[in-house]
Amino acid sequence: MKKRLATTILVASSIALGMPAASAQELLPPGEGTRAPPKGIDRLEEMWRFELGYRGNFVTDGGYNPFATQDYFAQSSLVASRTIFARGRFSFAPGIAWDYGKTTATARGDATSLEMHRIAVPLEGRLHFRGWGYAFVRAAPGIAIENAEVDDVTAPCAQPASQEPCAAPLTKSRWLFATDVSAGYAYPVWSRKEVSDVVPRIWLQADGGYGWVVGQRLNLAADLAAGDARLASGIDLGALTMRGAFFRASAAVSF
Amino acid sequence: MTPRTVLASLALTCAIGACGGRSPYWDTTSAGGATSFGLANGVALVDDADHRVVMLTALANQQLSTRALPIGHNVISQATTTSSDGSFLFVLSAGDSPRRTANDEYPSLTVIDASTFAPKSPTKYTMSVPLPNLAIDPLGHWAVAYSGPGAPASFVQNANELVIFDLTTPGSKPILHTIRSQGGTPQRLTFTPALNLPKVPGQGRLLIVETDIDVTLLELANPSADVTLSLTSGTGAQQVTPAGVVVDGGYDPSNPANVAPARIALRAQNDSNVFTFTLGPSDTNDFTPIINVIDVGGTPTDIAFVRADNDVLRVAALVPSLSSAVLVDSDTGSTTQVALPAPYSKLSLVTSVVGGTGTDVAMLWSGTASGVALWTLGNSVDQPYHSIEVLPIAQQIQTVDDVTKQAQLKVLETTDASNVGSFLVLDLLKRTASPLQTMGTATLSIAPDGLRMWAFAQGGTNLAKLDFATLNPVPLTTDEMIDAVYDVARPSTGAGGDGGRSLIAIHNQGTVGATVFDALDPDTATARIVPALLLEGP
Repeated sequence: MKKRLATTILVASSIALGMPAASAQELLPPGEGTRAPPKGIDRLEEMWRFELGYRGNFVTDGGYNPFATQDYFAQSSLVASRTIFARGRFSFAPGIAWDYGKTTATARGDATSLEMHRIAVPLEGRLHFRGWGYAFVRAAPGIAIENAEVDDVTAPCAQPASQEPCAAPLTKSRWLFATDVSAGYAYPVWSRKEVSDVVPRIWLQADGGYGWVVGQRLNLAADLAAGDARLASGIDLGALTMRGAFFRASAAVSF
Repeated sequence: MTPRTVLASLALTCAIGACGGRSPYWDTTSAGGATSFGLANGVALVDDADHRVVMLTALANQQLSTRALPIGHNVISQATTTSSDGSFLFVLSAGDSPRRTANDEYPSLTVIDASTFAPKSPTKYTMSVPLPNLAIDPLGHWAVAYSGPGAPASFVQNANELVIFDLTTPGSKPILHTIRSQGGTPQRLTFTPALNLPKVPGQGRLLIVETDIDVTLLELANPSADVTLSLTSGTGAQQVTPAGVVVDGGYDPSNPANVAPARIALRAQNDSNVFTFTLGPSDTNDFTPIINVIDVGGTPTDIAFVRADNDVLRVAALVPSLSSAVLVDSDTGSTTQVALPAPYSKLSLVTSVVGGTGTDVAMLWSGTASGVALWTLGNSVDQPYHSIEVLPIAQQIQTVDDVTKQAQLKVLETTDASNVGSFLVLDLLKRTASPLQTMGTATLSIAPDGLRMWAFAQGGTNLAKLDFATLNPVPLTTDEMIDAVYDVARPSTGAGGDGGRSLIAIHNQGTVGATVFDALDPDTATARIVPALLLEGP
């Protein structure tokens, strides 16, 4: 996933940086009064946007330790948004976002993993600087599902009749409330002089902020087949709250 | 940039970044699992990698609760043990060597009081040098660490040094004592019961230290006044190696007027003599040992103090090379040879079950000869041919296990070259021996309440309960390989307490798991699998 994401960013960057000089000259110059008044909608302010980015979370909660050797959680991030309100240099764009990440480690010799999907509704306020892009603040309430798993040889066998090692994983999955707040800046690296043209525009952007997912008790249970009547206890790895500062670097395309 | 700015920047960096890091706990691995010990109220798992003991308590519905207690670093496995009643766990640790920081630990003894279902905080006794062996006083007053056989645990080691811990004074500084050596080193330590010593009648306690060439008697209350007795004759070069001691306190608590000198008897690995030591009065010490050396005609393999004809105290020695037992009068040195129907090599007194007053009865068996016999000592001297009763058992007996609270029962583990395991439940009153067979070599575990026994294949998954009342086996199985089983009590009060009993089968793999059965009504269908006992949030 990380490799694919890096490739995408690289391609987007290459497109932007590899533009011919003529195209570069078509970029709107900075400063007031140097641009002709828009004839239609300013597509640098009112637009559909699709973002693909890399998100890094710093998670210092002790409950995260069984699943990672560092206090860091890498995710990929997808966002779609639409400007629904614009006045002067300000605009407002809600959207929908999906973040995904998975970390693996060993805890006392047992293989562990933690996977998280986060679905949020980013509510983004933007302050535009014409051809220089815009600054934004974003609040993204949503939900997240955390899937924790530990593989231990002493867990009950998933197929009781098996003679091979067959310990069922100890797992827990739970949906939790989540929210992010962040601030950042988006810069149009490839645009058109005519701002009302409905053509793709490419942006690079970055933001940083704080993410928080409601804590939960990591009481993992053996993942036995339905109908398996065996009694099996689980393990308690303590409480986990996926919260901490994060940054995100994205490439975006707008229309 | 001012210091305040620097601190603020560091704090912000830590808040945003990854300061704190992962607890080292998660990186410790217990590759060899954990050593388990059965206690009166649960099971202890020694998790040396994380410097702790995890105490397991059984609860209703086959649940387990865990509690971790700290212990010293680098546990010496061979020196970790429990008290005879299962109330205490003793963990000897080598500490951190070399010590590089003030936080590195010295060698230590950790004592965990597990006499209740809520173990108290451990007591730690610090030592200056690591010693690899530990002897525990059955009466709970003393513990002694010593070098013993094997390689030194440190660069220079005083092989004759004893570190004596007074367990009645928690955390006290241990007493260091070097026994008077004639060239030997301690091999085995024995704590005596209360002895009738001349200056402290009925109160003296000795530590008997058997070295490889001599024996030392050390009064625990006054270790500096120790006495080392050579066993080697001054006329020969052959060294005599002690092989075991027995003690008669000379004091009857139920009849304080009936006093006699305390006596110790010793047998050797390579000598046909029995050595007796009568502890008489002394001008300087609490006692003076009066030694008597009596030849019994062959190397004895077991000895015991017995009450023979007319309540006379004698030493009974089994001499398989003569197919005989020899009764020794330690005062006069006279001997009486009693011919036996087989070369029995082991004996155990069963007087309380089948004996009369003023005379002892011994059970005799051998790992190399078939059968078991009862030896009534009341008429052994006058009519030795009438004193032996052979029980109808054809197997060779490797081990005899006592059954708690049912002294008339003995579990006899047999030796069988066919690799088909078997054992017998002997009832000394009914004179019956019920044979029970297993498909393979079985390990036996007798419940502390004396009502049942468990047989399991160590390293296998088969398990069976055997009720002593019916001898009806209940076959059981587990998913994982069994390392040990423990029949433990459940608390009668509090959450999960119902006063029942549970059988905890330990699976010593990975982070150690267990399968828990109801010990009184075991059923695989109601057993609970409890995985990863050593993996939990700190």
